[in-house]
Amino acid sequence: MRVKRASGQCTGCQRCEAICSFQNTGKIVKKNSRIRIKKAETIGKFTPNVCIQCENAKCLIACTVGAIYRDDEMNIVRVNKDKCIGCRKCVEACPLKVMMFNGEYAFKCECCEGNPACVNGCFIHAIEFEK
Amino acid sequence: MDLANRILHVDLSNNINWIEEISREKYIKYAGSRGLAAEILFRDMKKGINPLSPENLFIVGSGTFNGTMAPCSGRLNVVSKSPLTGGIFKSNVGSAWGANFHQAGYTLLVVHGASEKPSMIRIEDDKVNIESAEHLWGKNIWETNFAIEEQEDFDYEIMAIGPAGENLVMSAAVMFSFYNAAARGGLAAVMGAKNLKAIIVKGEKGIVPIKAQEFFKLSEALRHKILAPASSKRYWNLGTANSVSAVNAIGAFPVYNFQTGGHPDVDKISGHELVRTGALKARRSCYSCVFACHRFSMTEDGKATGGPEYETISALGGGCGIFDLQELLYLDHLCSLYGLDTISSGAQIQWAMESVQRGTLDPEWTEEIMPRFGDAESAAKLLKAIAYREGKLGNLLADGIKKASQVIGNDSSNWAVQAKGLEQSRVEVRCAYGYALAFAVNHRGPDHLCSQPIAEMGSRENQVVLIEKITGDRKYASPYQLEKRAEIVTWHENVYAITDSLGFCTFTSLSEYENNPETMAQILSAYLGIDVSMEELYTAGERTISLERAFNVREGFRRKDDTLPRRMMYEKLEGTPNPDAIITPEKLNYMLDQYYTLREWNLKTGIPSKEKLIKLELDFVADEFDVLGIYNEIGGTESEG
Repeated sequence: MRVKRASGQCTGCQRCEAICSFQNTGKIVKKNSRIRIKKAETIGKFTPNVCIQCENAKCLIACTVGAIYRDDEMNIVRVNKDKCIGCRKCVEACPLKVMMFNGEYAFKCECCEGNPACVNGCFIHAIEFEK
Repeated sequence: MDLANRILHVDLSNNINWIEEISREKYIKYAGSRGLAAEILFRDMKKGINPLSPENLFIVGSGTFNGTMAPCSGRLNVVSKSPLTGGIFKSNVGSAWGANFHQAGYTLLVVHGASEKPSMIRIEDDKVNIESAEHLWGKNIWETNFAIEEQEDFDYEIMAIGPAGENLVMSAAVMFSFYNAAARGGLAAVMGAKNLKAIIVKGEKGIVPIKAQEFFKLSEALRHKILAPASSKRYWNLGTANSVSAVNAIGAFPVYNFQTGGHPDVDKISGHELVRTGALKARRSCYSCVFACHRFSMTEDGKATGGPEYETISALGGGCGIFDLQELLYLDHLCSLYGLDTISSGAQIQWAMESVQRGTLDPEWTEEIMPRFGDAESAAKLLKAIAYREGKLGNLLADGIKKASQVIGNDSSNWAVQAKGLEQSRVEVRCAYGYALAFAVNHRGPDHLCSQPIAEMGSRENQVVLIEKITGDRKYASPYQLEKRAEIVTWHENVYAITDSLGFCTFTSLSEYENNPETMAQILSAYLGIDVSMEELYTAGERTISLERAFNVREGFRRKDDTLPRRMMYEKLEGTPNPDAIITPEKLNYMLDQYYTLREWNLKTGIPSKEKLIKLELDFVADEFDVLGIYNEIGGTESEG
């Protein structure tokens, strides 16, 4: 399963960021969000960036301590924050720049256990959930 | 909990900053930044301060819900003493700037003093720096944004002034990112006078409402509520320009400097035309918005704009007799480059065009640029001349049409469509009497941005129901009557004030009418963890309006200033369904009497009564009025004069 870009009609409202950070950390702040909106104002382009749970996940390969693993049941890539040593190799390896780091451990979209808050909160369906 | 309840003071003269905390009770008192800013301006400024002097305070205030998932809560307030009107001036704007400022832990930024050299304020949570902006001075808005963004891993939100603000132009807009403008009142000139080119912010502290889960649930419920009516889709489809053709069809779309109320070619510059021709490339939102009324458009040769809005289409299009979409988009593009208010700039150009039409501008003014209705090339030249104060005419118009018409004379004040110095926004108030009253009593001057009494039109059932609730009878949901306009305007002003303070877009509360004092009070209660009743919140709106009025009273504003542009009062508009499309002084005075009585303000002067101020817990205002002897001029403290 994964969250992915859908309609191409993202308006750059960033409401998904507020909802994601709240759902996952209890705090409303962009830096805690698993999804990030890239805003290119001069060409009118707004792009949601979020982990697409790569089959051949570069972050997982880059991790030297086994903190990143594939959850086969949900078919997503997860981070075990207790194992993470904060080396940020995964952050560097991610081609989509959607592996985040909060100063202690790496984190990423894990699809809110199958009910992604960002997708529920997007009024224009610029992102969708693929089971 | 983390309510972002701090005020950041920055003193440019002394390069210092300090923090003041806002109690939860203060949020209940004012709902948020618009009211809080008014209190600070009244409290910390003396009467008669020159708006362009270091003593003027420049305040940027996040809405209480900025940076959260509350729907359409990305609006913030810029508040200062306006160099254009000489009164307090709140300018509301959307973007992600307020969200970041709020997530950095602040509700208000109060800028004191002035820098000796061009400067920029950088805010990253508790880190606040005043930096040199000498490399940015002289750059237009796009160049400024690009130059600031050059820094590696740049992740700040930018507000800045363009050449118009630097050159102390009275129609200079404070620009947020590339297109969003706190446009009116010349507030960018206040920044320019402070040598303040930009303020950039990044917020990483975050916000935690006290009853966070409830806040989230109420936000989602409100989102579904405001999107439920089919009418809400029009913002997405056509933006604020959705009504251009319809308003033109009933003869209420101002054309040729309000000389007529419509033109067959207006359809060529409508919101529909923007979509049909493919000029519309994308739809944009303020932070957390679920309407997305903002546009992203391009001319055929690639000139981008963040509009055009309804107001721009009338001000730079129909008002100037320009009905070519490509030309209009280019003019809108120029305003976003220079950092200009499209409404006032358009009004300045229209006034010049009508002056040429009537032969009242001597050749010395038109040697370089000859403005004529329909001539987009001269309009484009004038925009640049105004922004840079180039040439005689550009420099004249840059001071606003009130002053310009005083300089030119020759009866040109008759077609200077302004009051309190502010150029009127593009609403044909001769066709809607509630709007006329709202424009006259607005602390800013004649525009729709402190009260939008659109319910008086009665064009939808929920509008009619609201009018019945306010006035007691559905029959008052009709715009050509004087009765009950005071009640309707008062309700709209109060609700507008709390909508602004909370950071909501007024389209949620005063266009769709789905977000009301009750829903707002519920969300505020969850945010603060204190039960706030809708009556308390409504009173916060009334308090804000009274405080803004009090600021202007202290500056010398009286009933005589609550007026309309001459054209609205002495020239009848033809071709509308209203057979009596004029707001005569008698009509206006009748409505003002009703309004002051309802507000408990003195009938002769418009000064809030002492009793009313005390009832609103504005004792500090009443005390100052006593000290200044303001009540002496109305022979005591009674509300009826």
